[in-house]
Amino acid sequence: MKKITWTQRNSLAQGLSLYQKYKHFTIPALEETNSCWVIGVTGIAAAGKSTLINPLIKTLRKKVFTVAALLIDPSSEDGSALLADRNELRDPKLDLDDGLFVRSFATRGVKSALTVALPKMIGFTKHFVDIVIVETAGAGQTDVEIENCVDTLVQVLAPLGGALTLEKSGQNEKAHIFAVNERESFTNTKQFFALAEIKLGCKTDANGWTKKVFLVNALEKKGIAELVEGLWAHKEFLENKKGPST
Amino acid sequence: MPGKYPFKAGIYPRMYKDKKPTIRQFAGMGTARHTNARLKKIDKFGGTGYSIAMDLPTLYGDDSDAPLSRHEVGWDGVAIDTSQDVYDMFYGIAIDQKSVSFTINASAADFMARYLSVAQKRGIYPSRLRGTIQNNIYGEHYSQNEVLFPLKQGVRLGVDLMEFCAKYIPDWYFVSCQGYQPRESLCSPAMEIALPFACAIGYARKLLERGLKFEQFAPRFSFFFDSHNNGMEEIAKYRAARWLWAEITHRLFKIPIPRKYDLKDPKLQSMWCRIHVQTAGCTLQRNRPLNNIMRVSNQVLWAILGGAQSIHANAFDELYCVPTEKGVRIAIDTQLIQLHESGFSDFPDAFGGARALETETERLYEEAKREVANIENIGGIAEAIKVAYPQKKIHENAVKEIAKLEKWKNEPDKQYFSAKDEYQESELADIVRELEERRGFEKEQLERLRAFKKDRSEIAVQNTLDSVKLAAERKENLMPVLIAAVKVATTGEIHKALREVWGGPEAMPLITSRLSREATLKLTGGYKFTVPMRVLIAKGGHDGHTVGFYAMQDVFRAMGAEVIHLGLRTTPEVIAKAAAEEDVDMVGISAMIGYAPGFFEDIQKCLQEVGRRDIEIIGGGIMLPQDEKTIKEKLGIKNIYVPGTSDFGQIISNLKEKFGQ
Repeated sequence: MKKITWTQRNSLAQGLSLYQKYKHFTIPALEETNSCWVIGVTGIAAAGKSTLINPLIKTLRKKVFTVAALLIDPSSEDGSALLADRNELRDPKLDLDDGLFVRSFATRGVKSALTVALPKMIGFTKHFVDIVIVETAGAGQTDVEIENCVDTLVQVLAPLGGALTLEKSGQNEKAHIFAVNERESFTNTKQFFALAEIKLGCKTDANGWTKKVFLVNALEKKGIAELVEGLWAHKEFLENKKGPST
Repeated sequence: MPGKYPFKAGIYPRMYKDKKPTIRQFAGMGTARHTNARLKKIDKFGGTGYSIAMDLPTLYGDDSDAPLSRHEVGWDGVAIDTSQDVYDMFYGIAIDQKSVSFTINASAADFMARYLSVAQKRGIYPSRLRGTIQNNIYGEHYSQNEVLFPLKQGVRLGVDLMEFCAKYIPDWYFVSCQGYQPRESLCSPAMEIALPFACAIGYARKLLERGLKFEQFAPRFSFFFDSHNNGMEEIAKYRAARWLWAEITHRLFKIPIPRKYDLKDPKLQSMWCRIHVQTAGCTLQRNRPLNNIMRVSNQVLWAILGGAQSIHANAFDELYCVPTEKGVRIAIDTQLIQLHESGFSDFPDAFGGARALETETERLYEEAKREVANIENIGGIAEAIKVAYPQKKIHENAVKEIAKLEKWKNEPDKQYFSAKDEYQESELADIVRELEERRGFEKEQLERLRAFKKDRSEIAVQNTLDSVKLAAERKENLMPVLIAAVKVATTGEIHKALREVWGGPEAMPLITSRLSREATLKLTGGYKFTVPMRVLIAKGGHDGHTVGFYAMQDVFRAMGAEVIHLGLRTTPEVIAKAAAEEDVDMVGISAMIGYAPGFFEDIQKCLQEVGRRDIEIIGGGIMLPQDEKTIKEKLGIKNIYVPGTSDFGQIISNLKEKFGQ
């Protein structure tokens, strides 16, 4: 069973702190690593990102990969922040999982080190685990950054709005996978999902990847296995595209 | 008129002249053996009923050897893991002749099954048992938060127990809808009436759906109210409650207004709001603890004047722990003195007709009626809980009450309220001595549990738990299966099996801190960290008291920190792992029930193990002075805040020293 040792865990934790504290901090000897898979999860506030990440991690951990989750939340104007995403990941199966590393970040303003250093931080984290999951706070600078440094981008959608909302430009163009998060109180989820499949799915991006839409229920942990299969399909696609060199 | 619809003046015509209120004393501590001794002592002191409290692991359906149970076993109630524990607790006590009350909700069905299996073993027919089990799971969702399953399944388990009791244990009060807990969380007196009634309406509908008649179960609904300081309001409250409940049974459940008053008639009894009163724990003060005796004495009198059926007087030292023996004796005497020496017990509804009292009664009746209607309009108590209506109402009133109290106690003539005196330490001496003994409870209980587990067949346990799971999947009443299961399976095992089928509790709408901006500023003195500071906050153990936890969150945010919220029910191991991964500067811990130095020592040890001894620990909670001393001096954790006794300014200056001005 693979695990993250305590030495690795503390180095990773304290290394990330240095990146966040000093804008221009770099670790020179660090070479690129390609064996790690980076998944980005975005979506507007309350779309259910953190609730989705919980079962997502569990499913990935079942496949014995070590996982690091980097959870980014906005800071308040006064500089303080309440980082509650980690609480969403509280679970008897995850609490003491030694193959899992969870770290929360506050953005500390638009021009902060975090936004500048995020690609470097992800690169650093890649050296410690098999899979990195980055969750961002919805709209904001980090979301634009994230697109460039993740392999697979998942956008979580709450079933709100109609056909036109789905066609509006923005995030939707970059994401590879969409997860429509079903809620008990949203009766029109099924209809919204159908619309999303029509408007967002089946489109092919510049790389030739055909986008996929999944219906999940993060709270009841439904549709997670299918979503993970979709993620793997994208990873495989990327690997094939890179060709026989690897 | 007492005994006449709508029973504003009392449910019996002659009230205490015929039937004295039960003197119910708080018991339940340590292992079964300790509680047994305490029960026998209560008999000797003149108590006429027991009110038995379980420790936190039992209330949360965990065994004493669960990781979260450390430092809580037998602390604020008796530890129950097995049916043997229940058997030993009542050994030599005639349970068919005593009224026994159990304060347990989420795990009530499991406990009651154990009690019934013990009665069976002793050859006592269920129909001979008398007593009350709280079993109000709706109530747990809006206060206390002692919840083990999703709302729907939790209610099903509770209603299974009610249906079973209504059919087979005719004298058992199978639910006690409590206004006490919300009032202790500082809701308004009207809400204190409305919430339990809304719950009772909810249960009544469920029981009617199961084919029972209203008069078959309603006589065994009981209600549990607080007795606060304001006498006029309190007496009026009990009167208003009886009035409103009688009207609800008449209007909503179509019980006719009686023509003849036959006291044995179940239809008549269905209209009675039977009241158990506990004096208000939140009015007890830490300073000059003996003054609490006077407060309790007043509150007992309000309950007698208000026509309560059963009274639990708090011991003056109850806010520190399960009361000491001396505390219990004084509490019983207080009730006996009020009952026999005040003279009021000879006059049913002694002040009925007094203008102020009648006005107050009408006001509370109207307000409570409006609140019941509000909850009904939302769609009943279950829906109201989902949209956080009760939670919101409690929170709003609490914020107001706290601000009012802050102002009140700073008035020049209220100096006595916060004053300390030199005898204070010696007044606590007995408590300290008894608490020292209690630290051995955990070891003893673990030994009992180990012996029990060693003696049984593993295959039988597996079969039993499978039968519980099967029954949980089906719709049948769970009680018969549980009564059979409790003979081999422990509390923790049964609840784990049920959770595997039903899942754990849903996340509840979080109610946040009650600290006002000014109060927060007063605590921090306007100090702000100079660099971004990361703080992990968590609460250990099963304890669901969140006031301190959320206050901590507010205080740290006011100082400009990034607060990582790890939530409740965390073990030291989880806290240490999170603290290391988050690379925080500080860990904030809130402790309340249990052996506080133990919690802090464990966290310190775990941080050491992960190589992060450098992380600063800050803690707070309600604890005895010498526990605070132990943490500060023996463990070297300087930053401990005990509300009411210690100075937060000291912590701020410690922080300034460490992290800069």
